[in-house]
Amino acid sequence: MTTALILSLVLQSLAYAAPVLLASLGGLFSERVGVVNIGLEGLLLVGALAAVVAATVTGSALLGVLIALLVGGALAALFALFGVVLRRDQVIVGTTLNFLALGLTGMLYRAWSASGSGGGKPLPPLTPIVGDGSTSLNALTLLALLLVPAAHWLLFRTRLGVILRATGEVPEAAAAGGTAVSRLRVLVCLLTGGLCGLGGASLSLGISSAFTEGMTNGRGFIALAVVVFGRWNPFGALAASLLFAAADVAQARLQTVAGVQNWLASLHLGDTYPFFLALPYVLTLVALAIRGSKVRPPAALGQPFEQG
Amino acid sequence: MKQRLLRDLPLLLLTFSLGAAALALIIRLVGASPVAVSKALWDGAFGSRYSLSETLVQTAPLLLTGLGVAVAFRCGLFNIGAEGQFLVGAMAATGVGILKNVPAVIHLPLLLLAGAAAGALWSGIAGLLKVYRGVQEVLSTLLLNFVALQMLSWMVRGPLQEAQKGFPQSDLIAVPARFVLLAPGTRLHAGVLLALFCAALIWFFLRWTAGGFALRAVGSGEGAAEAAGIPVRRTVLATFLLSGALSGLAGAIQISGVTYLLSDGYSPGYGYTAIAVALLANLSPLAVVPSALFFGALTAGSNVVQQRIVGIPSVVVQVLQAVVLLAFLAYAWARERRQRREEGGVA
Amino acid sequence: MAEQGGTIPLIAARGITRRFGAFTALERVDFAVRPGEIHALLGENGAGKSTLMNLLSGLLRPSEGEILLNGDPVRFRSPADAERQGIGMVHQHFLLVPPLSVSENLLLGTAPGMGGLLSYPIRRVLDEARSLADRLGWRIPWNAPVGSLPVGTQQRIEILKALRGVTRVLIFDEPTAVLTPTETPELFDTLRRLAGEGRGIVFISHKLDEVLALSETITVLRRGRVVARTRAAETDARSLAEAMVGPDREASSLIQDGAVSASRAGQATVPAGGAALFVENLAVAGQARPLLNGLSFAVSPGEIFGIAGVDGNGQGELADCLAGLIRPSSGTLRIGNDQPAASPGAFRRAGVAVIPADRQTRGLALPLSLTENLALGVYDSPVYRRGPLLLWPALRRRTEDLIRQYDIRATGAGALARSLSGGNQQKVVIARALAENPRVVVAVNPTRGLDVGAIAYVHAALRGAQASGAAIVLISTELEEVLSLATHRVAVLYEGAFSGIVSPDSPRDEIGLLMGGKTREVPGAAAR
Repeated sequence: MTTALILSLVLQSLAYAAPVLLASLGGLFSERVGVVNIGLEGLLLVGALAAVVAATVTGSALLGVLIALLVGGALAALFALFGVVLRRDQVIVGTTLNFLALGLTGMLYRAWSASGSGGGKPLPPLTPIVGDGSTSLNALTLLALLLVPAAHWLLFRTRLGVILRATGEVPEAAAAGGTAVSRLRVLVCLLTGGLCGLGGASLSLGISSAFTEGMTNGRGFIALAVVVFGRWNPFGALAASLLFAAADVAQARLQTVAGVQNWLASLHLGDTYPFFLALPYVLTLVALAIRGSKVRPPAALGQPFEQG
Repeated sequence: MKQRLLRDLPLLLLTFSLGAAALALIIRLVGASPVAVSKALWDGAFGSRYSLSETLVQTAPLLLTGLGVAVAFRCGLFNIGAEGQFLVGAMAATGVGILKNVPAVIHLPLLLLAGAAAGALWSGIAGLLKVYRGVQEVLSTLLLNFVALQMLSWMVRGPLQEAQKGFPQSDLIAVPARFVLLAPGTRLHAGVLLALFCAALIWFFLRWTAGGFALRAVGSGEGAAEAAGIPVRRTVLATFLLSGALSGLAGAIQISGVTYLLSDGYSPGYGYTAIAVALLANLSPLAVVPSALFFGALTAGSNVVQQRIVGIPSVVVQVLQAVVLLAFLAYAWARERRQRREEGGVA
Repeated sequence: MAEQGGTIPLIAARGITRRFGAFTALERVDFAVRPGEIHALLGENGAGKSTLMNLLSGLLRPSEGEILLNGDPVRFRSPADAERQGIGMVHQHFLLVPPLSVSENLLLGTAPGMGGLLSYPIRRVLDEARSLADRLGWRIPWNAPVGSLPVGTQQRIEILKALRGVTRVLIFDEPTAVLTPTETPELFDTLRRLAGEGRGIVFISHKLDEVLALSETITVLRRGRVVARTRAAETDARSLAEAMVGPDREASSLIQDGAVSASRAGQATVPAGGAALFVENLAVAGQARPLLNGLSFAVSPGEIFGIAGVDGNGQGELADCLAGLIRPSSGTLRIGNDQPAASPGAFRRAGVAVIPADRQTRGLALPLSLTENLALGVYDSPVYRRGPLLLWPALRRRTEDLIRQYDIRATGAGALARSLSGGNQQKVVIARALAENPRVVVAVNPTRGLDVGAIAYVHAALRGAQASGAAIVLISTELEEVLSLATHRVAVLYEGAFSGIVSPDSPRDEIGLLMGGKTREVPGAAAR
């Protein structure tokens, strides 16, 4: 393999990792304060649509990204209302959020395309920071990568980080130290929504340059698995999302390699494309099974908290 | 019991009106008329003999998957994988349905059995991963949904593809493997009755049998159940199998009662709606029947909405579900709060 | 009532009433702590001690009356607010975060005055804590996760958290409950030293001798009212106990008769022949050191075998082994002549009944009805089962009988376990354990968190079971309970092994030494 090919593979992997990484950082912060959010998938999806619509309408990718951030946060506020303030079961609230996001984005996107608002105007791409074309690194990918050490610093080298971690382990201890546990959890939910909004933007603006219904395809769920696999640690999440992105890129490339194609054809399996598409999910399952019960989630994960 | 229901009624109406208002707002937002949408929804669900039959046809898979979800949740297991289990059930049923040379009498039972077994197997993966590797079932069942989706996509282009190899779909299943139709001119089939029977069966199982008691005990207090000698792991695994079998059976019934063939994108999300069905029924197997009927009506209705009203795609049903669930969650919260206030609110 | 003139109290409650709904937890209570004073707050569970301390530390606000800080009325908005104004609190259940290091736990408790949220003033926090620890003569591993440290050290960290430059009053909630007898005097030294520096100490306890040994002033609460206030030098244990318990106690009568023993009258006591429970060389491996190591004992029918010891010395593992919940790494466990497989069901069928330590998670399935909870004990018995079916009507009748027999206060057999009071929940657990006349009963801290009446009930039930010939293993961290119930022998568990097996009449200080790990061979009292 040439250096150029390797470079392009690496950069492509990074780009593919960005949506999952951003969502998993969101999920990581949530779980660190004791909130389990199955709704990452829906938040990503909403962010992806918001970014495309806003970027097309304003003609600015940057504005698209910002709007995605805000819209993600807004939907997450709904999650926080039901899952934290009203203390409903967070798995159920998150699942509901996914329905809502899937339905809403479908309806709104069709209405928007039908009304012709998206019409003539082109979708402004995310400007590459490094390189160009297929070998490039866009701003959102770079941001996602930079957020990893930032998140690590925040969690492990600040007083706020100590409070966050305590809130997910023994919320009573955090409360005794003067933390408004519910308020903190709501804020972290909003942060998670914002990060997922960015993740959605990195998917629709950065990778696909378009929005399609249900385009997240379970990336939000993979992000949740990444949190577990990365042991609730930002660098762990980075490693895990890179692993999955690399597998994703590899399967896409592998399909086009003539030798592989011939070999598959010789097996008479029919159309093998779905095998490759299923690969990331199977890989995630295998990864979770390997990591298994050796990991310990924050002690108060999913537990409602009532201020005394 | 009845009194409490009456007292909670205003609360229920209030939360659901709020939900309806939110929904109307969304519909206006995409440029349609909420009144016209409601009208179409009603017509599609209950407007005629045919639409009534369609509601029942949509109810059957929701009833079975809803039971599957309810059974799992009762055991404290967040099986969100009814969708995948439904799909593998449909695949297995198709595989059996298109077989030639099967004695006619056993073709339908065999098809149903295959569907249930496949669903159980699929859900059993999540069960094994949970029991032996500590993998959260929420994640594994969700991921398995995506794998099942790809498997379906492969099946209808590979092993189960029609003989002509034209479209990504299977051949029609043999006639003896189909459910009889109950009313001429409609799609209403005998599988609906089987679904109803399953609801009664599951109710009986949970209420009267030792197995059902073990399941509920594990779901209500795992520690106490374990200390009392109930084999927790075995119960959890068995519950996964039962839950998956119900959803798999739903897939099989859909094949042999409605479509007679398997195609790409086979499920309009029955397995996800099932979660709403189970929750709205408070996880009670008997209450799953009206709950499934409600969501069946929504699904049948939204199909007509989609045909009749421009700009409202069928995904509207997902928004509907979400709004119903949120309204229900809000209602549950308000009811709890009132109960607690009545009990004196001791800190 | 003793009054100290001169100094203004650091903190005082004046005419405080606190109601929860219709229930009055405190009624017109006065209380004051002066600089340098150790003031004990004495009372039984439910007397209002916790409510008073929560009011003083800002967790609750009074319904009537006022709190004075240095003589001026004050209204604490929150515990953090009270802390800023000099009121520190050391909880009985530590508010520590186990995976976080000692220094991070200290940082968690620091007031935001020390840098913003994004700063990490761990150095300054540590410097402050270190100088305090040095002054008190403590050695603390600052970077170790708190969860890995012994309980005594964890308590010191709680004290360090509560103790800041501004702290003038420190409230200790039952601080000795978790300590070994050797750790207790060290804690008392610390308290005296802190008082000597001019602070006021509130010491909450229900242990008379500790209160008499340590404090200067004693306030006794009963049913939300102050019933006595005296100087320690001017009173004795007997009069304090009378003040605490009151004259109208019905508990003693409860112990004598009651439904439980009555229902068992007429059953002959099995003579002490072969052992009902036989344990030899029982061991459970742990990560660093064994959790249980070479335990041997046998319990005869009609004996209550007491196992004392400070929490965390292997009680949980021993109880789990005896319940069949965990398989010992080595050793023999026999019920009569049976050697059941390590499963709770097999042990139950062999005749072992367990009253678990945590009734809310191990004892009961709270969302289920009483019938269902009681069915947990017999769901596999052929009497209540036909093939796959459970005979619910019969189970329901049995529940109604047990409700009467064990005096369970509930609306009926269909009532949810969740809706019962703690004492009645424990009655359900006991009814389930004793209903089928078990050969062996394993009771673990059976009275924890119960009020006086319920405690007497539990003790009577255990004595009743003993009288009817059950072999009873009583594992409890309440030494008094073990000593008063054990019939022949008390074993002391220390770091997973018996540091001694003695008669329940042995001197307390001797048992105290054993609880602290001072092993001593007791001739003639070894395992039979």
